[in-house]
Amino acid sequence: MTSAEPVASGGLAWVRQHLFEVVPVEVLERDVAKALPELTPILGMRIHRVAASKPGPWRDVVPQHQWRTVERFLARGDRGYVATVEGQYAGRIWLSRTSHRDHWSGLRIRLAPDEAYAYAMEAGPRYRRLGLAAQLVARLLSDLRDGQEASRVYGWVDLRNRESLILLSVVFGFTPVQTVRRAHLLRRIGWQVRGSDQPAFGPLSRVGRHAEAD
Amino acid sequence: MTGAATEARHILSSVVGDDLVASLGDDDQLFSRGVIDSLQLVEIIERFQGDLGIEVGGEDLSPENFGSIAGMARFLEQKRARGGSGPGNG
Repeated sequence: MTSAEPVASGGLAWVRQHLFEVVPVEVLERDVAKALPELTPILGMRIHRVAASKPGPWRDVVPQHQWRTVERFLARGDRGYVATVEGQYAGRIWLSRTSHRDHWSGLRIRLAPDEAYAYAMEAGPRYRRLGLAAQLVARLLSDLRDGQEASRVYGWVDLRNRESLILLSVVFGFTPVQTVRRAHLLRRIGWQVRGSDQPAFGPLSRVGRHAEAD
Repeated sequence: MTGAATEARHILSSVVGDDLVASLGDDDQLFSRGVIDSLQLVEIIERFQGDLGIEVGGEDLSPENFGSIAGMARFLEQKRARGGSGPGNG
């Protein structure tokens, strides 16, 4: 669900992190019907829903360097939640209902018809201590619940990103379902390490609820 | 108040301050009430490990265990009952 990674120090660490690295990833799941925490509102924050079925001036709230990516997400049928604070872009999260290979991470997510996948969560550095990521997750989950679109939602986190892991687990009650290893080259090309899925049953495996549903 | 609740309050105080913690009930939801943010949650969990010697695994990260002072106290007691290390036994 997140792309934030800790910064390593030292030359070797830099090479490892920027040229080639294998990182552990945890897949988490949550029952959509589970109660949501009540969050303290953030002054001046608005969350804009971005979807292909709801054409609107999304370019007004999404930074220009994200436009091509957003167009790709929308073409897949995904929808986004973009937060602004006092009119300025502050963060985002995306939701997919479609099995696909994620372009950046290289992970292939497989979904049953009643499942959804939350990804690409980002909170701008100025807004991280305000609970913005929590607000985005809460809005996505409440929409899923109210729309009765899915009964289960998945997300994944880099296991070194303790903050995201704790946010999803402790605040929202996501639970671990599967771990995999993800390799990436030049921080641009990523793929799932073959045979690294533990257990080999879940949304990042060939076999899972998606296979049962088919 | 149990000893475990006092320990949980002490950990929480070291992260958010004594005054704020003194105003909280044991069952108050810490995140919902805006008492802590996710970065502070990370710090609290690290202190459970570093200060109290309690190992916190991925399966322990839940609203029930870390969402309130009472939850933290129960978690501490359960961990120690299961033989996890901590003051007096490890």
